[in-house]
Amino acid sequence: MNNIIFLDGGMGTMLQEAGLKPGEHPEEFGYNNPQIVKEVHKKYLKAGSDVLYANTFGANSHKLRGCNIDTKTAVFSGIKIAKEAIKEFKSEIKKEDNDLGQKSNKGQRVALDVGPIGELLEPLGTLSFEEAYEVYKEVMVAGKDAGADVIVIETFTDLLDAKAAVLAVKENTDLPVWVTMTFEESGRTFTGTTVESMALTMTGLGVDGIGVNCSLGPKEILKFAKILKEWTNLPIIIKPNAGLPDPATGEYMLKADDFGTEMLEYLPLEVDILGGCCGTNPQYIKSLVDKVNGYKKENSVDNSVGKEVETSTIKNGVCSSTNVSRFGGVRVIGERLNPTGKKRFKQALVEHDYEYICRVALDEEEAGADILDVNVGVPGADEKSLMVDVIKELQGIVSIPLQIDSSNPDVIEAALRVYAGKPIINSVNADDEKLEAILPLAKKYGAAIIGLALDESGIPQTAEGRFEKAKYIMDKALAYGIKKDDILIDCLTLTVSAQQNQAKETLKAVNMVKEQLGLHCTLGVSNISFGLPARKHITENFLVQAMYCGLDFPIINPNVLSLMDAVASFKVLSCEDDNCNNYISRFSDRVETVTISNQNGTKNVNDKNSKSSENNGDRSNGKEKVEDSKDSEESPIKTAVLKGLAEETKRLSVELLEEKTEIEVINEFLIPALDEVGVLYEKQKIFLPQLINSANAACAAFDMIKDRIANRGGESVSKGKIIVATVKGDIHDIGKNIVKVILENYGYKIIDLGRDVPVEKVVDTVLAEDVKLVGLSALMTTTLPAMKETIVEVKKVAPNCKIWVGGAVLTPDYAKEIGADFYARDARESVDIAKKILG
Amino acid sequence: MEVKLTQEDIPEILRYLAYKDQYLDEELKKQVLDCMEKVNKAAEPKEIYKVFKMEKGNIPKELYFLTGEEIKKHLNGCNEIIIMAATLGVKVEKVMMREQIKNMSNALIMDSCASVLIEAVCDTFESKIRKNISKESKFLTTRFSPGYGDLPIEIQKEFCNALNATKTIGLTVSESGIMIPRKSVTAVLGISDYPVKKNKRTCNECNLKGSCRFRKNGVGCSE
Repeated sequence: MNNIIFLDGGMGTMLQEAGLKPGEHPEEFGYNNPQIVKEVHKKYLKAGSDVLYANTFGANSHKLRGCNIDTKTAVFSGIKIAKEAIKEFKSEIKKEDNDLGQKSNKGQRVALDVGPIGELLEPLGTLSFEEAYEVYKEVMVAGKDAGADVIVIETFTDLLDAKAAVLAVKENTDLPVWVTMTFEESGRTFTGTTVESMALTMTGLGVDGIGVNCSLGPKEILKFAKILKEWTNLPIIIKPNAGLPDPATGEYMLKADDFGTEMLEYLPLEVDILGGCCGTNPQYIKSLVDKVNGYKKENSVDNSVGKEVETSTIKNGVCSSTNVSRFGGVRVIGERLNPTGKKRFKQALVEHDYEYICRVALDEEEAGADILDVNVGVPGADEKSLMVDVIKELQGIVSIPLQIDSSNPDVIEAALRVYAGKPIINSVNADDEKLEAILPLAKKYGAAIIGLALDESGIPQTAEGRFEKAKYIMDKALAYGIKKDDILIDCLTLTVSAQQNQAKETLKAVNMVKEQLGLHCTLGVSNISFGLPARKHITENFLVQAMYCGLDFPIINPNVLSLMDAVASFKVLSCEDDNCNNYISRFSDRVETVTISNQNGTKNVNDKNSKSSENNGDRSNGKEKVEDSKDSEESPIKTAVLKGLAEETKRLSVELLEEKTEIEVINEFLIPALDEVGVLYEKQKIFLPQLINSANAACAAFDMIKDRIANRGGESVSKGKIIVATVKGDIHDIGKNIVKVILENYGYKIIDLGRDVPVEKVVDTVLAEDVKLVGLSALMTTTLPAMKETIVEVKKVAPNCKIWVGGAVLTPDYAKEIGADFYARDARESVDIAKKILG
Repeated sequence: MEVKLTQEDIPEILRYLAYKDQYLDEELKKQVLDCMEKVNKAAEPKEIYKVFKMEKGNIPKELYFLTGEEIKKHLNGCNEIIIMAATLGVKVEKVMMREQIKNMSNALIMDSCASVLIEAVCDTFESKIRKNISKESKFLTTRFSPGYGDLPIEIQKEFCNALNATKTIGLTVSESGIMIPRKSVTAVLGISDYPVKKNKRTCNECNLKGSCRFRKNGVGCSE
């Protein structure tokens, strides 16, 4: 058994008993009453605590707002009091000369206690990662200067928030850092972070101990400690509450003696660092210390062996904050977030149309991808800021882990910083310059890494040549302290139509890397079939062979059903899919109608539940198709729009395009249909969900038309640019998004600045894009001043730019008062305004 | 306490969508039911409350942020104050964000579903308290929330701090005073030894002065 480090117990309740008033800041109270805090510390020392958490939990610039002390003063005061407590305790104990005497020789330490800022980070909240980092940096620097021995980041519920705090420690101090987060019974924090994700991410970031505090009692937290042990080698910290609170009184129900007893359960797990949180006091810590010492006497075992063996059984993977993709089987990396050869995607990047990008990502996730590759390299665009924006958007929407695809170290680092989890870097190669720039980043941020089996002189033509490059990369990565299990080698897929003999070399290299180096293998699989007809057959065949050779991270288009079917089938044959459970559930409802047609032997497979159909832009909830009502006087397309049938509207538009131009289809069919829907809405014949369903239907046709135009390389159809934004401080954006959907359908180009948009961003975009119409929304009375400020600033620089406003708390009178040109009651009125201004 | 949306909530969900007896085809009805199901599945309702004694009929010092005339009127004759907060949690917010990308009309309907659900959570909580205190022959006022009447909405931060709501139920308040997760409610209730007459609120005393969702749809919040 290791030496247990004992922490202290609750501080808040102790201070309340000593006079801290509700609403009063504990740090300010401590500053004004150092003696009281010191006495609490000394009681914990007497109870046997080795580490004191200084009274600095809320010592940050956000939480101290309205106090008479600043962050530095609060931190210095907190650390000083704790240090004095230790000094006084030691000198008092020496005099007493009793059984406590030995404690005076122990090296008790002071921890800078860092709690969360208390505001949610973007995208759910309004606090940015960068702001959070700056707030924590101030705290950490003060802690270092004040002489803290260790920094404890505790009670966090958001993984990205905790990451900001850890980076603030690592980049500004040399102190050891512990991280404990707070979990619900479900094994997730309030924001959805899992125990596994915390373990992977924090271990990767190189913290010195991780664990759980607060949340629940010792009994309930035990299962989390077991999970942590499976996922990390780091020392584990457990600081539970005194059981669960009584729902009526809020008092914790576990007695001190029982607390100590329940904590003994952690010893067989080799949990090293124990203490108490809410509801615990020095009695609880004394009980803990006594029981642990008693237990140790009874169970003295030699634990010096066996540690090394454990290391290899630690689970590994990559993760988002909410989902882990565990290594040890085939994991599909989605390839579609990449502009190469995709004009529509390129356009979305250039136009900052992140909604389109998120939609592609969701398609991939829903089709069963395990990880998503993210590449935003477009010539002429700022890759770094695009990458950061896209990563931030994506991690708010998709739940699976991301892979950062860039060769530029600056871009990679910027993305690694803001990523809430453990990502993969794609990629390095055996070029020393690349390795030396990127491997340190992988180490610092704890990412897995893909190494391309090539170097500055090109791709080796033989399997042996690529194996050599792989080995070189591995040796370098290991030297930088990167775990072997975090290295993925890409043995490079060459196009078989150009270099036919290379496919075999690639497969052989995969096999060698797998067998001889024991590394993971990845391949951009679909490259194999480039330039050939019916590509999917070659791609699928190559995929299966490569998986057999050891490919475990195929980079493919998960929306191609046959490829995902091949992966699912492979997992049965490789025994990864236990009892064929996943295979059975995937295919049991599938009706495959196979028609072997004509002499070409082409196959038509119709899958009833084919996920790939989602890829055709069908977001219609699978609604039934309208029958072609021949007796109706309406055009079929109008009926389809009115009924909100997306797939049908799209199909009919495609048919029309055989005879008409895109502009004609839009102006003669889609817009009149939408106008009619608008009139029905105004007359209250239909209500908002129906209006949006119709807009969605028209949107399916517009998307198809946009794709056609983009693929032709043509200019997008636009009647003029409009900015929409939810103002600074406000996060209620559903109304703004509805307006956007409706306006887009009328052919306007919408620049959606999102929610919580700073005044400057609106002003800058108005100028940069030469925009003549801006729509602002706010839903709270508290954010109306920000709306007014935005209007004033826009009018200053662009007096001719018209502004319309909307949102629950606005009235026409108020709109006039704050200087808006128009007030829109709903999305429909926004269309009238746009028509008036832009035509 | 498991609070879920049921068939009976449909009229209220439609009311939030400004529904005025338009013809609803089967598909739309099914869409509403699907959205209810999604919200039921993703919502993780949590609530927290604390009870304070009134000090000689006045609001206690700990609740210094409860300012204005309306709240005093509301608590007139009460001996105790309950402050409460409830939230549907982060998960349903995330699901709704995803839905905004996949299907805007679903997202809109789900937003209304979530609004109805958080009210239902509060109603259930309230009736539970009412039941408990009626055993002691005491009476409960209705809920009064920041933003009602002249009780400022800007007090959300202090309000949530008093309940330690970030730690206990994961409810945070942004710099601009907005509660996140969005589908959250804070409210004040009074406990009295005598039956309390329901104060009918009028738009004149209200911060929103007739610009609220209810007025725009031609109804009031107080009937």
